[in-house]
Amino acid sequence: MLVFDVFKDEGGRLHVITWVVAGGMLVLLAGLWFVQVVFAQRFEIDLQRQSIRHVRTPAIRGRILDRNGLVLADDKPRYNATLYLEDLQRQFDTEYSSLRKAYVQAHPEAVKSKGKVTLVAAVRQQLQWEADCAVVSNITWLVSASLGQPRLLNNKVFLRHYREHPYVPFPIVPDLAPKQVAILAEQWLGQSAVEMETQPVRDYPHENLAANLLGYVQHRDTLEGGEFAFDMPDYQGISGVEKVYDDQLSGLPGDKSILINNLNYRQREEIQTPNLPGNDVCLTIDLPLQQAAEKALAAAPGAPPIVRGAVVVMDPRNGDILALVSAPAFDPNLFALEHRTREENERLNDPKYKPQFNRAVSGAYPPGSTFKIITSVACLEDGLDPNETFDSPGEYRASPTSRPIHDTAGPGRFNFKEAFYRSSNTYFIMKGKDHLRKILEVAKRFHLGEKTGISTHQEVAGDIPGPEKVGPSLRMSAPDICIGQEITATPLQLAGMISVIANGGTLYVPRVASHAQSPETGEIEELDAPGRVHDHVRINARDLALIREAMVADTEHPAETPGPGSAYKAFHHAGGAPLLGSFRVAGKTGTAEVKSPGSPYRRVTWFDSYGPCEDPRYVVVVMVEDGGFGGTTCAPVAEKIYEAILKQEQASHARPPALAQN
Amino acid sequence: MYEPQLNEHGRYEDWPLGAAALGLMVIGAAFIFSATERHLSLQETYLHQVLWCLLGVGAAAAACHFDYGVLARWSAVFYWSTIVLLLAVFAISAAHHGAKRWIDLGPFYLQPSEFAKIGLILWLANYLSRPREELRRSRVFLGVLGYTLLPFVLVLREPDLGSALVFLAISLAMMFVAGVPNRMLAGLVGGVGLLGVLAVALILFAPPQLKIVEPYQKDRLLNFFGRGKSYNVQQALISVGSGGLTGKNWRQGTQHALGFLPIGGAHNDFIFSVIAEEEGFVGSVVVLTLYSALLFTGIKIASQARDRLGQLMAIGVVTLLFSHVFINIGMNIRIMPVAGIPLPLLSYGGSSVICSLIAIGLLHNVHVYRRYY
Repeated sequence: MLVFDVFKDEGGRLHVITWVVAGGMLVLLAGLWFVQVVFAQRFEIDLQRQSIRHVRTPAIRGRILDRNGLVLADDKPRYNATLYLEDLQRQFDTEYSSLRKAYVQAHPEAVKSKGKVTLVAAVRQQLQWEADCAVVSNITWLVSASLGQPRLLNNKVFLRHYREHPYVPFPIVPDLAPKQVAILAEQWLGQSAVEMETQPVRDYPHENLAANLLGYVQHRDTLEGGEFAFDMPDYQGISGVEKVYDDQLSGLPGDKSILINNLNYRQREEIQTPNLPGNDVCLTIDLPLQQAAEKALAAAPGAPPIVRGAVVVMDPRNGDILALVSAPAFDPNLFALEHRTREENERLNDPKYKPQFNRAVSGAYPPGSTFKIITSVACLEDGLDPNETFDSPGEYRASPTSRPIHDTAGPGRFNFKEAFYRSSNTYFIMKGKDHLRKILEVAKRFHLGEKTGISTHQEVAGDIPGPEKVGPSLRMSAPDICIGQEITATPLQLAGMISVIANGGTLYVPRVASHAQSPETGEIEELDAPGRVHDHVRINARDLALIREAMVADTEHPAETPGPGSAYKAFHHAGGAPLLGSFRVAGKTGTAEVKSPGSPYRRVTWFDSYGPCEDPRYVVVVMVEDGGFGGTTCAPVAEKIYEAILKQEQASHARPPALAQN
Repeated sequence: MYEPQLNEHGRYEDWPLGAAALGLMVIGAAFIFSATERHLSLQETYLHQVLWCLLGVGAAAAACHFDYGVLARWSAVFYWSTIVLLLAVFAISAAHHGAKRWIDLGPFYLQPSEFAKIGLILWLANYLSRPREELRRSRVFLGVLGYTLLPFVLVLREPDLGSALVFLAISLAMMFVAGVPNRMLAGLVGGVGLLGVLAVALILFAPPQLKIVEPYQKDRLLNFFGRGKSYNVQQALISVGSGGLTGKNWRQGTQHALGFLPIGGAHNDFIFSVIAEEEGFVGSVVVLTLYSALLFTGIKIASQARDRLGQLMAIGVVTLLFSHVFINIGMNIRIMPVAGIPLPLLSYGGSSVICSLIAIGLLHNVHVYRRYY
């Protein structure tokens, strides 16, 4: 191939040159092949590592809505003034030069021969930081002062941000008021490094309303060392609906890649994966009813000024929770902020009022006389003759020397119905104390002392021993158990019990969340199935009719012998006219004494009811800690709630809200 | 390819040579544009490059016009003028990055070391094109050595190790082709090698107080031996590697746009990184092919030259271009140290472009005047 002119190429030296050049070019070719083809992937990764930062962009959290689409929790925009640090580079440099000049004047030893200045790296770094802080501090001051909210820069916070994420805007004034937004837009935007950033903040427009049910959110802890270089703050549900349905609500965060230059400043951004907004979660709660229940509970007569109590309003036809109140509640908005004052923290964790404690599902209370419904079922099944009368001495003593159990019904002659609406302790103790196993068996049949399975968790089981536990020691407690002492259940469980009486034998799993809906596609996903049956409670029709009749008498029997129904006063005008007109309520009052020394309350008052009694659509259970009596403290609260229900039904032409949804 | 075309009706011009040079100049201007368009102060750089190319083509035409035999008679003048310029660097120089390599001529900077390479080629071609017997004399050998070491030492003191080594390569290749006996060359190579090893050892291990070399040169050497970490070489490697097979397309490279490649260097010493990133392995092959066309045409011209003067001149030019290409591209893929020498016709720089074109002009001169053989 290579034919050289032998005359000119003595010893083939051109040959050698040719081979050297060809070899050199082949070496380069091979080297490039390795770098650009074989190991290209590795260098591409290096390139991305040094020039691309992934930032997680949180999705907008879904709303929480009531059964009619009214908003219970939402996101509202918060405006922050931020600085784009890449736009400040020139100012940083200028400031640095002047600081450097000043330093050199103060330290003549830094000047080397021929006027050349050499600074130690540490000094240079220090001056650079001082310059950066000075520039940012200056702008922070000017901007915040113009907004009427002068702020000093926290150098440490800034330097940390600057060192770690200079490509992310640095916040200088958070949470601008509308007026400040206007000032910022007019004076600063578009001509400087100052920008405005919008950040979604969780907002509960009704503040304390249903707070224990809704729960709260907090800023998620930043993931250190994850795949993202920077995590924008987003929320995590910590309790209640916010926690249980966090997956639905939180959506999917997006991924924004920021192209940065060799100084770590942002060049441009690209959205890799757009964030997917969270779904709206629709509850079975009825907002106006919840509001009415909370208002009524707060005004419970005979209760301490700050009422501690709970209300459950349930649809006995399907187990839908229409209102779930625990008082006092907290303001979940406080948790959505990054910082709370000490006072706010103390308020949230008050040891006496325990505002974060959901009394309706987490509170196990002795049911008191409302438990007589269970005792009644047990006694009737074991052959109690409801017409047989009983002479009550007005108190019960296990033995002549033992401590008496008082009886608000007083002494008198009662048949079953009279003993029920007068709530005679002596009657039910005498009739029931030998049927303890049966009573506990019926309680178990009603699933009292068991978790109801409500999806928001938080709940406790309460404490009602099973029939198999009956023994000599438990028999000692039999008189107390007959009248609902020394056992505990939650208000929600009692609402279930009343529902069974109201609907004739079906115990539903209480439902609070009906469905989730995508705000973008409108796609609906069912959360808790409607009308999920927990159990069918066996109860014969005669006994059911007797108990219902007695419960109606509790609110309706006027003040004749042997005395009025224990809730009569709460449901009637002084003249005797019913407060609710033709809307008839069946109920049972209860007042339990709590003697255990550690208990935060001495007494628990109840009113468990359903209405209207011909076609029960509502179960209302009211519980107040340290109230007066069930009839005087809780029954009026329930009555107010029924008033609201009545008003609402009349407004919507008697269309029950439970049907409105379907 | 190397068959002599001795008929006088052969083509006058060597078109592949011109085409390859033109292609490289066009690529150079295009990628200088890409590398500098984002930097306000550098935005007209590519226009300057075009101007240098035009001036260079004029200079090449001039270098081509007179028979190289005539030029050889003036070679001593060229050689000594460039030596004077190299000396002038020390007196009136503009320092960049701690090196004194340029003379400020007002509108532009002159880099005498580039011209000195042409001067050495001309002078050595003239000096070595004597009867073969004389080449065996050690006086001649020592003469060549002296003429080489003079610019070598001056350039080394600038300091510019990369260019200094090019002088040695040119001289060695020309002596070799001229027919200097192998044993002398072997001695020379051995001696230079030994000195090199000693110098490297001295640079790396000598106490820094002695200031034998500038710290950055030590870093570069360390880097070459895989001990230091040069940011620029690392970034050049990332540029070249991330280009992959087909690259990111013209003006789409990110390494220079984001400032990872040195802003002052992307369009000159690191222009190959820009090309390789934006055009990938395909682009690299195109560049290597164009250089190969230049180099092998040069060798062909050397083989067809009418006399040893022409042959030596052609070989000098080939060695000059080859050593620049090899060192510069090698630096980009980390098989050569950071030497800071330009890539002929691609890198920005007036002295480099003009001298490269003069060199190609000389090559063409040898080609054109072969027919008077």
